[in-house]
Amino acid sequence: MKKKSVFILAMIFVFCFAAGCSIGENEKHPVTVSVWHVYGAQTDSPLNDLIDEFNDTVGKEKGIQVEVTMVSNNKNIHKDILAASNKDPGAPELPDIFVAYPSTVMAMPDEEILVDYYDYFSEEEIEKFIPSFVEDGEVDGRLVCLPVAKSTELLFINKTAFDRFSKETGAKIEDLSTWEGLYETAADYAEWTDGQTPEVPDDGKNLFVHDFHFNYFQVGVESLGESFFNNNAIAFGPVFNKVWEPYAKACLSGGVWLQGGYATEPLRTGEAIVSVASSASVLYFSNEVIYPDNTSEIIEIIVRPCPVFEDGKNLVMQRGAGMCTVKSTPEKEQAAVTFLKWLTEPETNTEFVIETGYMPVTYEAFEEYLPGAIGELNDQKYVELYKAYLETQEKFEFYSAPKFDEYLEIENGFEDKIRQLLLNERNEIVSAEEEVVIEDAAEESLRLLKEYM
Amino acid sequence: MKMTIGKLFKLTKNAGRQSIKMQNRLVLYWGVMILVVFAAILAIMSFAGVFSDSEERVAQVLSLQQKNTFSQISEDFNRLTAQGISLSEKASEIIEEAVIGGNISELNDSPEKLKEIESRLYDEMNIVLRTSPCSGAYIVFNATTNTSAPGAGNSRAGLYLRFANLSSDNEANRDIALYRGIADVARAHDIELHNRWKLEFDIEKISGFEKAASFSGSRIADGCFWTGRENITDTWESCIMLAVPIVSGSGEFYGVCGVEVSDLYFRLINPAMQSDFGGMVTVLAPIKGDELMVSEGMIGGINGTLIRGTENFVIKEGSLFNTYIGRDTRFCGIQQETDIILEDGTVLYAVTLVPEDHYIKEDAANRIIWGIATAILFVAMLFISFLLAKNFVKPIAQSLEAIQEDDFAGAGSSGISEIDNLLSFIRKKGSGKSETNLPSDIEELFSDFAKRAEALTPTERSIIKYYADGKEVNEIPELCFISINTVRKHNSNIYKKLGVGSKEELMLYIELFRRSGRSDELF
Repeated sequence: MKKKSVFILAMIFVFCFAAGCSIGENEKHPVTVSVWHVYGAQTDSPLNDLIDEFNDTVGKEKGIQVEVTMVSNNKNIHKDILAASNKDPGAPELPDIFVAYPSTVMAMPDEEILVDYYDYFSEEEIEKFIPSFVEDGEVDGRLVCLPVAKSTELLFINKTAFDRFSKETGAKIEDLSTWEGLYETAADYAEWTDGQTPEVPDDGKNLFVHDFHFNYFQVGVESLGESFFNNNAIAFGPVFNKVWEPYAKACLSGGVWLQGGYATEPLRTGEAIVSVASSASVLYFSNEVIYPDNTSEIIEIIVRPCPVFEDGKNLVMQRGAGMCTVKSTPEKEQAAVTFLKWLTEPETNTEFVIETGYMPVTYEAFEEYLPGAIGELNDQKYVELYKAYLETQEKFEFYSAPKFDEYLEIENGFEDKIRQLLLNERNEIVSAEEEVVIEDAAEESLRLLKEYM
Repeated sequence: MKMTIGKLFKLTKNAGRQSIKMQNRLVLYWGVMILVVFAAILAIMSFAGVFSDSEERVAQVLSLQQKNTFSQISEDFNRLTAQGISLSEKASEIIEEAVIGGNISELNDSPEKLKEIESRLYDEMNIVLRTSPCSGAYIVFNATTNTSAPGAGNSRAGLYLRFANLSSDNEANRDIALYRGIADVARAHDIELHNRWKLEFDIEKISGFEKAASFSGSRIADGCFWTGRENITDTWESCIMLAVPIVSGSGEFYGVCGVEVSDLYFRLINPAMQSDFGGMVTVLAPIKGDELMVSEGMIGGINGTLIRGTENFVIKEGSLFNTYIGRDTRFCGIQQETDIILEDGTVLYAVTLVPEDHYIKEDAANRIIWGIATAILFVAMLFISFLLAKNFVKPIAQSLEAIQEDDFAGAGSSGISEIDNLLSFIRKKGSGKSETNLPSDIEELFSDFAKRAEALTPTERSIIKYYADGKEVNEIPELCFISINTVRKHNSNIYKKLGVGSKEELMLYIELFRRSGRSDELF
């Protein structure tokens, strides 16, 4: 009798326990991971298509939905991330995943809010990545920016417009392979375009636009054998002057675009015809230039490795932000990492980067998938891009910016100030009644810059 | 079990005539039986979902959310329409001031004038953009920068501003990009050109332009309409747009203006609200036949669901809520017609959806809990019924057996007073004959002797029993573990208590009682 009672009680317990378990299971909802990224900005975003693919396959199977809640550029994302992490009034909520450079992470009040990918990737998995890319994503020994795509700076030329200039002046595309040649050509172009409309004085056009003037100086100084930074500040050593001189002359002659915005903007409006920009900007280059009179022209864009100094070494900036994951629940972190692992799988990664003008991040993608993907490219612009990319890889050394807390502040301050100083000086030259000696103006601008920095 | 119930029925018939104790037992038994039946009914009802309140709860949650959604959408779109009308009036004023003869065609081939108008309108549009629940604002003039440019027939000047970094709650810090318009206007206001910037609009790609151009009413409000979901040219986003005609005081068509609500913006301002049944998704879409055309409308945040914005759903109407069946997803939802009317007269519906699988699972879980609970109750009651029945019938069956075997003494007590009384009655009736056969004086003698025997101690009774079994006085000390003197003392007491003078007289009485079958009255 006692045995029977015990059996019945045990059965009741088992039933209740089973019922309880089944309820627990039912409460499990799909995990949604929000993403802010830069791949495609306001254009058709190849990453968004890949995210759809992930959601339909792996995501569906594992109950993960990746939701893109912002596609912008690094500048905007950087601004919003800092506002969100500082909990500024009106700032947005941090997403689960966002794209950022380590400099953004270092500017955050607390880097510990980000997941250390070393906790989620095995040693074997990390070894599949190209080591320098992984190092780039480290902050204080923690891997917080997972490399998903890397880029470098390349020279983009509106060949159609340059050919017209070349035909009249004898300028050569080869001249653009050195900074000295490029700036000289820029000054010539400003003079030549000014001469096209003699009735309108000082309406010369810019030949050249650089995405980041700061990068030009940093890499330029380093390529000439001097350290750009000294004790977390710009060194302004003797080599800096050498880098400054041709640049400032071209700027003050009106050959360089000094207004804000990305390099693609003036190329699209025909206000500049040569740019140094991230390889990823290929997505934003349009084959069509629209002029102020609403006429447009289909142009040919060619791509070359970034210019170097004549007596400097072939050094180029390595770019490409990484993906950061904000710490949350273990389920959400795991979901985010599942997506990122999928995105960095060699085949997926190659498919992703080839459409966005980036380079893959694993050895296997580089060796097994990238050559085939390049071979299948149809768009001439992309073919040119990867040709220049491979040439850069073969002949150049990649430079990674140092990581220290003040880096971002120095970069932003320098970038804004140098453009503003030179633009003001240029305007003064244009409006001056007497002829201004360019060299003197350049020297004055440099003095002001040093003073400011 | 069947036999037990049969016996019980028979016993129940007599229960009324028998003692209360038996009735109590039957009441208890029937109580348990009723509980068994009750448990069985509960089990059936719970498996049928009668006790699961999930359906009501889903309906309640949906209804509450739908109320908020509907009111929010109605308010937002009304506000946008009002802002659109106001922008149209402002644009009309500015254009009228800029064109001397009041004819918009004066702006053709006048890039400087267009730039001036765009610059002035920028501030107006900036205010609309920053103060309205929208992701972009635009104005298209019925004029072009260069009438001799290729494609000038479909090209129209204007201004289109869009947010460059939309996110859910950074209204104060949103950056604006110039999607269409003069680049210098962007530079003057320190904003970026959109990645897919163009100088002018292609009116073939603005579905509202033609209809707005044909507007001939006097009230601008009558000419407002929304376009269906369209891709924003060259971008990854799509949107629905408000189109408001811009007309001069004399009724000349100046162009069209309005606002844009992109799918991203709609998603951000309508996040999925979390409930016990998963994320609740807001949809604003037309219904064609029995299909909710999500692909032609807007969808809010999808957090906690597997819904896709490109999916359409077949609507299956229900009493408390509808079921929306997609390609491989199903949702429960409530829909409501809004005042938002598209260009072709289609009405948009505000719909709140919640994944069906969570509700189904919870419903199933509730049923399982109820089912298990009632099953346990059922089994427990059956078990108790079985024990009660067994204990109830056992003494009756034993007593019957004893009666059949004429062994009234062996039957003992049944534990049921009524049965014991019955047995005693039968016993008395069975032994009554020997008592009545004795003469009354003898019977009296027997009774007196038996009465006196009641005063004997247990040891004295044992000694008498030994005498009855033929034992002698000298054998008693060994059997009773007492001395011969003690035996003699007991004998003396026995004689005194029974009123006999000798052992022979005592033995005579013992023999008489034995023959009468009444030995038990002595020892």
